[in-house]
Amino acid sequence: MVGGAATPDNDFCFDYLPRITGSHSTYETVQAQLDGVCKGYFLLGENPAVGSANTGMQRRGMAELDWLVVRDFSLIESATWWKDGPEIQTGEMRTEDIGTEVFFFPAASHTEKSGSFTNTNRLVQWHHAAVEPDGDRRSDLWFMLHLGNIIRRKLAGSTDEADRPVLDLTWDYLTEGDTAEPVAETVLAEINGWNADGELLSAYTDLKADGSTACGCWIYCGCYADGVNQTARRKAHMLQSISSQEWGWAWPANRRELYNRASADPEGKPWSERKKLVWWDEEEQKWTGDDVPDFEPTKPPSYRPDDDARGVDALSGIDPFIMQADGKGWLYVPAGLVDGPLPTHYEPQDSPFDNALYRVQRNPARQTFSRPHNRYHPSGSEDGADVFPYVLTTYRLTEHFTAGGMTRWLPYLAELQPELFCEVSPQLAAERSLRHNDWATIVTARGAIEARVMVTSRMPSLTVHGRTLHQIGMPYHWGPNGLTTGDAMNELSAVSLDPNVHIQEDKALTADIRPGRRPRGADLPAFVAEYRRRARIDEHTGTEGAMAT
Amino acid sequence: MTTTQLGMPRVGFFTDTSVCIGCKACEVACKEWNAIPADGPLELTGESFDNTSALGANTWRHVAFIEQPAAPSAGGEHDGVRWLMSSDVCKHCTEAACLDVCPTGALFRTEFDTVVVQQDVCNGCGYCVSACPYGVIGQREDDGRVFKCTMCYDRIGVGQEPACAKACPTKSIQFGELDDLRERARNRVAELQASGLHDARLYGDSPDDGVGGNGAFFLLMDEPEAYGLPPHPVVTTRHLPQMWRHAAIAAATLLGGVVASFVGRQPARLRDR
Amino acid sequence: MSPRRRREPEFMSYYGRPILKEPTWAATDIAGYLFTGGLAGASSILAAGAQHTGRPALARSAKLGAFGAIAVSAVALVHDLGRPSRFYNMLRVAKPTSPMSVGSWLLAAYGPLAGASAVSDVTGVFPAAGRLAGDAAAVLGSGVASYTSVLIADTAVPAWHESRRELPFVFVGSAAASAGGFGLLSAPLDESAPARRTAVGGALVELAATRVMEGKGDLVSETFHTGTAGQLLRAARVLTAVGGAGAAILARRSRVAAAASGAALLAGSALTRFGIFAAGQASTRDPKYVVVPQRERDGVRPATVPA
Repeated sequence: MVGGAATPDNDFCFDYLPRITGSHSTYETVQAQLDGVCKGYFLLGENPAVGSANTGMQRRGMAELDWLVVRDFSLIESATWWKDGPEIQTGEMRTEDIGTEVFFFPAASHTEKSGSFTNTNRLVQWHHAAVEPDGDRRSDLWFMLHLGNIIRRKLAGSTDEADRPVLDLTWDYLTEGDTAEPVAETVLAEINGWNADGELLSAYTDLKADGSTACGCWIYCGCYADGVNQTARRKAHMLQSISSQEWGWAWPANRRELYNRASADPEGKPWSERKKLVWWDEEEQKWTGDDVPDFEPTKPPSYRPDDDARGVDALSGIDPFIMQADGKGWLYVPAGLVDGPLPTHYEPQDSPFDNALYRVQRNPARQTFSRPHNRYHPSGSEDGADVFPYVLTTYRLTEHFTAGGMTRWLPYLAELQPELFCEVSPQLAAERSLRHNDWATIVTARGAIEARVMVTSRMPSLTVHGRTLHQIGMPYHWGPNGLTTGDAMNELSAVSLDPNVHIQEDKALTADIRPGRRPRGADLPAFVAEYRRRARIDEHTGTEGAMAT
Repeated sequence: MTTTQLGMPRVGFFTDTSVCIGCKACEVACKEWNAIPADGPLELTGESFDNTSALGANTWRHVAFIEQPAAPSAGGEHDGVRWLMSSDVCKHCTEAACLDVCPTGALFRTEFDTVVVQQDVCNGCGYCVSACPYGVIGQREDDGRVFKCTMCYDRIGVGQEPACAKACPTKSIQFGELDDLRERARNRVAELQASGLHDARLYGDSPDDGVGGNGAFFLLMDEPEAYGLPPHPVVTTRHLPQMWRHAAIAAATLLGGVVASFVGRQPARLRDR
Repeated sequence: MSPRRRREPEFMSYYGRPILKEPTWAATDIAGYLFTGGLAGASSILAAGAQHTGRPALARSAKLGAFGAIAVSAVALVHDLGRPSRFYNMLRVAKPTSPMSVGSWLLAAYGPLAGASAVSDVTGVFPAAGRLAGDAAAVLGSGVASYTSVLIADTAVPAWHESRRELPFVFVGSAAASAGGFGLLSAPLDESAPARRTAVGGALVELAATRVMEGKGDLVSETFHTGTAGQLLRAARVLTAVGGAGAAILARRSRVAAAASGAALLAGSALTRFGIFAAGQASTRDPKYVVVPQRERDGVRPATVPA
């Protein structure tokens, strides 16, 4: 990426790379916004005003920014909150007081741009633009390339050392067409990497520490092997064996199954003929097979390390989990996780029940954020827990996708699921006088929303710890913008994170539910405040034992 | 072999509702392919996950959702509830009432034995709408003409399967030669019955039924009326000879009766002429 | 034969939704046409009879009545189409399985004949041809007055289809009553005897056939007794009975009584058609009218939701 500017003398510009100064997860970024540390924000196809936990906190964070850039197909909630969002409706914020400068860029969709798509199963597949985008719509690649050009032009001639990383970038990607769309293959090729002669590398084993090779990301090295866009391959699975190596490309090294040594027994023979992936070839003295072996190619199954063996040599021929220090699969995790070493049970952040396993209610390693708009609930036998007596769980529908930025704007999908609803059992409906297809208000310490009621036996009431527990279930796709609109479920959720990957707990909350539509205007925050008062919630509620910030 | 007039094997749909997952891909694929407008107000119906409610001029595939209390022994039961899902479609009847009553010839039977409306002929008389015993075909309010499933006439005409069948991820909607489908369906019902799902039955598969069998038939997991289907529809044309007979007698009675009212003395002044 | 003795039947449905589609036809247009078509057809027969038995006033009024009624019919039928500008597509094919196709051809022949007969009578041109046209219109008119029963019975609409045996007689009786009534209204007393007899005979047939149609005591026939249809048919019955009685007893001597009886019969005939139309619409709205009879026909008790 820095091409000729990288020399052995400057450590190949290693210091240009930003250092990890701590967790920069999305929720911690919001805290940084609230604290005035994070000044700018790019939202590229992301809609935190609907899809992230505690949407009120998300919007309050954005209101502290100097600037916000939103790129999406339509004016999603995260782009318009400053003029018509919930806090504007309640009067808690006024548009004229919000200093954030908001930029909206219409985005090209996946059919209007070429690029790669990487699944969580490591499969990288190329997609080709089918049509040119209309009007002002542009791809994210286009945006980044041309934004970079503008910034570099503005910084040209600067003598400030802080500007060198930007100015030293090789930013000369090929573009094509009337819109000067970057040729996405050139970007992929750069990620794959090349050598000093400009030849594309074929495997990450080609990478050298002497500056003679360059590679954007080592796990992707090989995706452009032999100068061929491997990710664009499309040989049908019916024409291939079980690993389907020639459909797309998997990182790293097109290895389809990680730890595939485990598919063979200690002698190196496949456990199953039908599912054989790799096996030991005694004649050739190497691992071979249907998949790329995830093992040292020439280490025989019979290999046993000496007592003083070090590094890879310390792993035997029957230790498939090569990314672990001892080559074993771990249930007991002594290192690498913030919590552990064994899985155990704690109650969710907000729970109607005491933890039956420990005196400690909640995971003491969890992350909490004590903010006025992120209050937690008393739980179990804690004072005030009965103010939110029901469990709220959230899920998805087939007809809508995540925060609804795509699906709630499409007529064919909007008409299939046209309104936000909550699902309750007949027993809960009776207890709270909820009527099928009528309205209900669901409330937590964070907010109150309204939804249609679906009374259904599919949402059973449970018996837990000898008493009845009613559940409320709801999809989380709705927001106030689009063809089908509704309140966002995440107005209700709080930010309480798992300590390792900072994922929010928005699938198990406690809440109350009442018949009828929710209050509007200033009555809404007053209504929620009254609940907090009744539950005697303060800045300490639910924060005990946590890694609080 | 069940063949069309041209001697080709007749094709149709077998919709096996026992594997329908209620994804509605069929509804969307159909609308996309046929450029059918989104219809209906954006309001929940309260009918479980079905916000489409019925087939009509702007809905040619309709997925029904039925929540039933069920015993643990019932197939697909979970927590005392059974959730049936089914994609409904025009039946393309062997004896199609809509086709029989169409006065303009807009409705016709294609070379695939399917029933299709010619949109450049239909004048919106609405007769087919009242004739259909399944309540399938409907009139588009802002257009005036009637519309219904064509079994993707344009796709099957080039050797492709209809859009809904192609989109269906579970192969609940199967398209192919009717004889093959019927055999497959019989085997499937036997399989389900053998595994204790005694409610499984076929609907519209028999050529001996009231419409001569359907070109689009179903495997249902409950009575037809639970899905909004008529239990034993009969094409109205079966009774038409009887109706014409009665009408002819009535017409003759009218003619004779009125004529007879003139029998008798002529009016005085006329007699004196 | 009170329908109210029947308990509400138990049966399964899909959220109580109708199975059938409601007729797309507008009552004003199509129930209206059932009336005007019947009036026209029967009037043509009266006109021909009057023509051949030296009753020129009755002949003229019946011919004009027929022509006027069939002209209104044509307007109503075209107006009811979803694409009125494509009305001529009715003559694209001739299909015996389609009563509407049969009717279109019937009207295509009858209409001009009724028109020629009326025009010839009023203007005096081509009298012989005009008389021939009138005779042909009379014969075809019997078809016009009766085929409409097949038109509505040849559907899946329960109230209409289940009445298919009686409807032709209801309709011709009603046609005769209305034509006779129109004659009583428009012709002088000394020529109106045949109109009187036609009116009384028609009213009797209309009342009797309707009674049979409505009185089956099955589930579907409750649509004739309840709601809008019930009100219309009850009013129709009263008007037809009063008009028929008036025609039989008073219309011989009093022009006023004759006119009043005639008006009552016309109104009764119209309400009969509108009532039957409304019953049909109602029978498509509730799935029970489809499910229960179909189950009973096979000797099977309708299934209910599992307990």
